[in-house]
Amino acid sequence: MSIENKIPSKSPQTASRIVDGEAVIVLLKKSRVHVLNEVGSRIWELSNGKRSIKKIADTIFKEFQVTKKKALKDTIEFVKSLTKKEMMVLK
Amino acid sequence: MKLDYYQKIVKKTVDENIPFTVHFDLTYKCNLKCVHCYVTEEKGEKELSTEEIKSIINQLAEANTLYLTFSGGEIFTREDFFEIASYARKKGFALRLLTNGTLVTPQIANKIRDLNPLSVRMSLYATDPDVHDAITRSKGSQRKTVKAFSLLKEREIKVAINSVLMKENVGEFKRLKAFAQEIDSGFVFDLGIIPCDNGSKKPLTHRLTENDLIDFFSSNSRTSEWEPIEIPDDSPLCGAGLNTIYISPYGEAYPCVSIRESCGNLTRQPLSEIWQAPILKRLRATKFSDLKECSTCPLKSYCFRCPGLALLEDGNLFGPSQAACTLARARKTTYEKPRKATD
Repeated sequence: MSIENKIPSKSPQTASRIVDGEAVIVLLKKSRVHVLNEVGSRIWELSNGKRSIKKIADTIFKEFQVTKKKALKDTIEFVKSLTKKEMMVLK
Repeated sequence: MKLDYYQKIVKKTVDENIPFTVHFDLTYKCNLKCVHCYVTEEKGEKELSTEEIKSIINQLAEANTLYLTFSGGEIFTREDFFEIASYARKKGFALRLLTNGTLVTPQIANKIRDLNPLSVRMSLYATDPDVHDAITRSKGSQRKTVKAFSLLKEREIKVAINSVLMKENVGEFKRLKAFAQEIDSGFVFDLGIIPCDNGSKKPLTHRLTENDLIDFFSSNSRTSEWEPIEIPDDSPLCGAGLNTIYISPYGEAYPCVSIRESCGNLTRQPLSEIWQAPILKRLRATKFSDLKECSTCPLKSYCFRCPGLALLEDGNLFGPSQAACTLARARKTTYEKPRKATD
């Protein structure tokens, strides 16, 4: 399966809230807190284990002033980075 | 002062009054009888049902609470504890659990691991079982709590020793600290013993005196820890009502565990309404400079005044707290005491 069809979801090792458009994510095992920027927060919010990366990127394209290509590239990079940090899981 | 991203978020929760951190006592029932406990169990009121608690959890999620502490009483005396805690985790909360640990079995430890709590704090008063058991008034309780630490550590759960220091166990401080290091646990200690929730001052007989405090500070800390801190005039009194709230097992909401002026009952009123209670508005509107006596006190830069304690013990939320005055004097004396060059 190509990466854009994969479905990201929040890791069960996290707890989070969106405060004023910014995602505050607690990595529970490490007791570390991450705060995401506006676009990252939206990707986090959309990563509910039901939408594919491509579908999330489509929403980012519609809501932020970026090209479709850049939205997909950035979403893939972002999801990969959060997966590496054990904040997301990919199916 | 430059704030990092997270500090900016916390400041936002204070400025915009988001109840970011909530302390929820799920029950007042407990299997121990600690000498210093503020809870008077038998109140003849009915504790919240599972469904009532879930409804409160839903409201907290909507209000953007992130950190939720479950405490008591002893949380594991509630048969529905894991149903409640799992529900809260599904709703995205970072859970902190406060327990005495004595009811933790391997099966319970597995269930705690599956919850992924942020931390589990367990009350340990001494490495000497006799000292601990005399405080809990329950023979064998120290052994059970120590066992719980190993059960949770084996499962890589983040734990911390939660200790209240009082006359009976102040001599245990260094041993408790060493034990925490030995088992790779956090160590949190508190010098604050508060009156009972029915107003009784009985627990205060266990509190360290000013001389005890000076001895304790002098032998267990470095002078630099007691450097005076300037408090800006526009500082809030504390987080109570700004970005925190306390909920009792009966659904009664208070600004914090010590400020027993009710904001309303969550079984009868929505949180959105309770969050606008007059006492909360009063706390939000009060700044340090509004405290007539405290803002001009020469000890103010040594003082960590607790409004709740001022109300409970001295009857005035905005007046001096004798307990805080005693601590501040002890800190000042410790700071000014001549020390060895290595300090």
